[in-house]
Amino acid sequence: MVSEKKKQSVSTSSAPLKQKEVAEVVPTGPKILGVKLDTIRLLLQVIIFISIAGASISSRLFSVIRFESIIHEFDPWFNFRATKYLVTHSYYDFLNWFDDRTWYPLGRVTGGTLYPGLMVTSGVIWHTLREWLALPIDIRNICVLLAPAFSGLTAIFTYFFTKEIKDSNAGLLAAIFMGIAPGYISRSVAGSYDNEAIAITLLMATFYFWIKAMKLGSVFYGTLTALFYFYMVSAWGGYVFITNLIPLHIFVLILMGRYSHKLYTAYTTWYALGTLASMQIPFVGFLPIRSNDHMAALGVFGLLQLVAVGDYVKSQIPSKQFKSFLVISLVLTITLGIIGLVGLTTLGWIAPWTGRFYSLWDTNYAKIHIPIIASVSEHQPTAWPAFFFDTNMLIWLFPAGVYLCFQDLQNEHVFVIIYAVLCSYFAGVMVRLMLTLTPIICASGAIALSKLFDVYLDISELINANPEEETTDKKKSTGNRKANIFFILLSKLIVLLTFAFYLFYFVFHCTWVTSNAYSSPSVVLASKNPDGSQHIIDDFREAYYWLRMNTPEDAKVMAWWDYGYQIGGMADRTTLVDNNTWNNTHIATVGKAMCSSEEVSYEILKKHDVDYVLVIFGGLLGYSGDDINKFLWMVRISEGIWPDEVHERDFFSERGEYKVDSEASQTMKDSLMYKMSYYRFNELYNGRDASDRVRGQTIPASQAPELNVVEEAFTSQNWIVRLYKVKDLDNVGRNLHSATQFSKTEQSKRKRIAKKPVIDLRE
Amino acid sequence: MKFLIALVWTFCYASAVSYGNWENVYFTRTLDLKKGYVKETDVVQIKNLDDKPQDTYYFPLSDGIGEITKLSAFIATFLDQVVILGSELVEIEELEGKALTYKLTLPAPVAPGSTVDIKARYVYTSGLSPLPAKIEMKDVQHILLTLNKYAYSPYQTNQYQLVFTGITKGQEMDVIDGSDSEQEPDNLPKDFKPRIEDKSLVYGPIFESLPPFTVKSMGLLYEHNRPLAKAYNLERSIWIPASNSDKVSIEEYYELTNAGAELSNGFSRVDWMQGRYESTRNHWALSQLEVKLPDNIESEGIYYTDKVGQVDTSKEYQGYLVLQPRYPLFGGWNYNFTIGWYNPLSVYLHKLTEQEDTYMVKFPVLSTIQDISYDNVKVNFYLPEDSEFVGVSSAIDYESIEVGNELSYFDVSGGHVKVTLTFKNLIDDLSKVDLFVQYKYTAASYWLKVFKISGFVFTGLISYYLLRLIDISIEKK
Repeated sequence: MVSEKKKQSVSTSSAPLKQKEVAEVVPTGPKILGVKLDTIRLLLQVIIFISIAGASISSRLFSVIRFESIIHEFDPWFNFRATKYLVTHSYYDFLNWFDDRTWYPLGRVTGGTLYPGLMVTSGVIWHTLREWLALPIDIRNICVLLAPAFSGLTAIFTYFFTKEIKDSNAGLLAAIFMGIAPGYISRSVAGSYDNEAIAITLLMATFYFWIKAMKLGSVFYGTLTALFYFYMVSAWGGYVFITNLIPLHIFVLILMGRYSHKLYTAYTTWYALGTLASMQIPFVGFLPIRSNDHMAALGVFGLLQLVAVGDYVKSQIPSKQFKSFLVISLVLTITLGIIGLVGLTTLGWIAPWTGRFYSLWDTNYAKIHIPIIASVSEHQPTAWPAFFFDTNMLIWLFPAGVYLCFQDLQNEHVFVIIYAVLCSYFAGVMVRLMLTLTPIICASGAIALSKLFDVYLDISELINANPEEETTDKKKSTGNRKANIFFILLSKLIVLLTFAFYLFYFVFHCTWVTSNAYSSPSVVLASKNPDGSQHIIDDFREAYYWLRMNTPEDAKVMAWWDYGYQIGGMADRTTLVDNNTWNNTHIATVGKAMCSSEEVSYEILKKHDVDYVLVIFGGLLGYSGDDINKFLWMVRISEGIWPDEVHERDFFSERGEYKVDSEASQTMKDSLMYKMSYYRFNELYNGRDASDRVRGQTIPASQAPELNVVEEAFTSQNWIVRLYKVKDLDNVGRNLHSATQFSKTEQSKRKRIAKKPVIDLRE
Repeated sequence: MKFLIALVWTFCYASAVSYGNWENVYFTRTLDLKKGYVKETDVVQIKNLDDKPQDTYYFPLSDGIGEITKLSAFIATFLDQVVILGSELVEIEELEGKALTYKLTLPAPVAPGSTVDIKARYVYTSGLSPLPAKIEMKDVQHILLTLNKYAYSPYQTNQYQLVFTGITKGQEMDVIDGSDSEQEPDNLPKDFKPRIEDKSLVYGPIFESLPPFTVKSMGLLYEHNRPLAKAYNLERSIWIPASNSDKVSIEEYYELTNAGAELSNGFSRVDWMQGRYESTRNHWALSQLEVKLPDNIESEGIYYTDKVGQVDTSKEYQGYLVLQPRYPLFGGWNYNFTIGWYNPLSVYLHKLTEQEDTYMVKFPVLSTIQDISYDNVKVNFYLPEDSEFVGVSSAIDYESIEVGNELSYFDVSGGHVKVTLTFKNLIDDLSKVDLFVQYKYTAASYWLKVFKISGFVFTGLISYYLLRLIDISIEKK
């Protein structure tokens, strides 16, 4: 016990707080130029921290500098809208928020189906700045800059976490890695106002406090763990990762025979407080005791009680009796546990495994069963280059770090190993989980690198060699030693310079990736003018703003779900479906309206009171993320609900290719989506065949689509967004097709009539 | 006979309101239709018919059919010398809903039988509407101006002329309007026909005498292929700094619309691109706004945003800020946006020498978009915190003035003093009009603010230090 305590204080001696104690114990520590070494170390650490925070924040500001202070992408627009709702209404209004402007006509119980942590965080910051510090900053700027600000905190927590695993040198390296690793930057650039922006900070904080609690067996740190766990639950659905990782850690430790009272204290404190706290989030509610995702934590909690009892029994009775006691109780527990689990699941008391969970284990599951999950690009399996792209040299330092953890297998190292193994797998399954892998890659990489530096930066050997040399005073061996020292120095230099180069290159790579790959808001597109200056393509905002300014406030806009949040956030209009894909049938309905013929679509449009239909068309500019490229997902999702009416096969050409040119199938050409995308596109080419620059195909002028049930209302400058107004029912009861035909033939006649003076002119 | 009727009319009216005894020797109306509103200049020679000298002349706007509802500015002078006549808007019951009436007070009474030439200039933003109201993109926009063909004066007019300028093509139209049944058409001049003279459309002059309050509504349909830009609301904010940093921040929030013709079909980008309407200035869609920046001084840090963020299509060009809205505005389309910039304060600020700590700022009421009318304009002056508002002077009438406070950055007591002036129905030409605001700001209140802020920071740091001293550990030492 005593020796352990000593070790503890040594390993944390560089922490600023402990610094004082050490200094008090040794009043005359080593000095450089009359300043205590510890003071210098502290100063350096503070400077390093400030630099790390500066680096991590400033590299995330590329997007603001290149573009502007704007909310990015899709989900952040919802978070932004929710935050605005929060700061303009009361907190309880926010929790009870029923949003009738989305999922028309169903609406969404938004307050109960979101993780409020992010919005509450920015709301609190907003209020604090406004009311306490007299800084009435616009809520948008707070939302935009929240992620960079939190990234600085993440770096600091990564420092503490890694310090617990190895030492403060490794901690500092981990902090700088975490600060600038693209894998994390991808979700935390300025404007990327998403749950992950604060969740990674909280993840690292929770883990740090967990390691601390587990090491010390401290209720205080266990409570802090629970507190940060609660914050995490309130902020991100990925909290389930913590909910499973900590029990797994305990479970493995028990299997390794490392049960101790410290573990018991730490875990039970965290579990009891954390679970109760997490149940306060409306969206989570009773999930922690019902959903199977959370069962592991509950199971380990139970197991820990049994082990504790066993431990107690073991200390009271002879080992022979204990063995039989162990066997019997094990069998009993396992059978009871399994029966209980199955029974509760069949009774419906606990929820079945969710589809997203299955797709974690079987990458093909989603593709077959739930197209809506598979259609999300961030749910795709990660491509191998992405690992290198997102973490650069850390990806090969990572295994080395994990290996070093095996070497020195303390309880906390077990944690790192479990975390590393699990997350490597998950990151391989889903692109977005790359994010949770990045912290441990940084930590492990830092451990490996600092170990290396520990060895190669250690020049005490050389200094110690000198006095020996003088005392022995033998010329031969001096030459030998000199050569020896030279080689030692050389090998050290080579290794150090190599890694200095890697580190330099790492920074270079991170900056490059951040500025080129992750700083585009995707709401605004950038291209280059011939003279190299930036040209902004602002079609999305153009069209959304048009909707906002020039349509009735209660107009319903139908668009594919990707754009739901943006329409809600920028155009402020009611949408049918959005990125919160809670109702598959509703999405399939929209998909069906898009992929069916006009007559079928019109019925759907009218039934859903749709006023405007919005499509994204990239054919003119070569914008590849357009609706025609997403079209097959719409078909697939609606086919899942209406297998009799929609057939994916019908949308392929004779030869089974996905075509939009003359070879396109009739179903394709008749679909509303196709028609709306290419409506009057040929006229831009003066009636000749138009060329679609995304798909590299030509749209023959002879098959120029005609629209009967909708009419063009607006098209943005580069044609990326096209808006159509749904026509009203014909007032003489014709179907709209014949009405359109009639008015077309009438038009030429009417023009002739118009030449006659209608009003009496008296000039 | 006519004379008799006229006499009876005069008598009837005179019995209700005493207009005095005048006669209009001649009355010339000139309507300038170049812009998206009507600028009217009336030149009247008045003759005192009374036997005593008179100095009060009633001048109802040439309306009578209630078309001039949004009067922008009114000024009356003598024709040959710049003497501004005292004018006062009066409410006369019988003219209620027909015409706004001004009571002009001449600087000196006019002797019986002698004449004086009066020139009244006024601008109104109502009475214009596109006809047809919905046209296609390639069509030419026509605007219908509804007006009274004659002068609406309480006095008899002997000679009358009506001139329209600033139009290329125009034609007269009958307006079906039930309200003017009181006037029989037959007592009006028969051959009051227009002719083209020096790029303007001229009616008359006629030398038949017109009875008082002659009303004949007429429509003038003219080609006007320019947008009718109109701002429902403009909020212009001027932030005057407390410190001696030489920068004043000016921000303007517009709620803009085009009052011109609407599109008969949906907006088709193909047509828009093929017609190349964007590059031509001669189209009725509002696709470009020119904001006049302050003259002769540098405006820096110009920004142009709307509710979804920054708009990149703007450039500074020869003292103008040329803005492109996100989309061209056709009739009935709206566009809200914000622009702002910084100017050196020293140009606008003047420290009064006769009063201590008193400053005067001078700002134009608008820094306007060209060819636009404004329904409501709010000019906010944000004076430094703890300053004292003394007074304001404006050459044009404001509807209301409001003095309040608004908390802004680093406001540690009441907040910036916000002086809001509200105007109605302004036009771009009025940007020459200056507003003068006088306020008192002592060096003491400036330093008080500085000390307050630094005090807060200091207290924060000290309390952090004190809190650090408290030992909250539960372990035994």
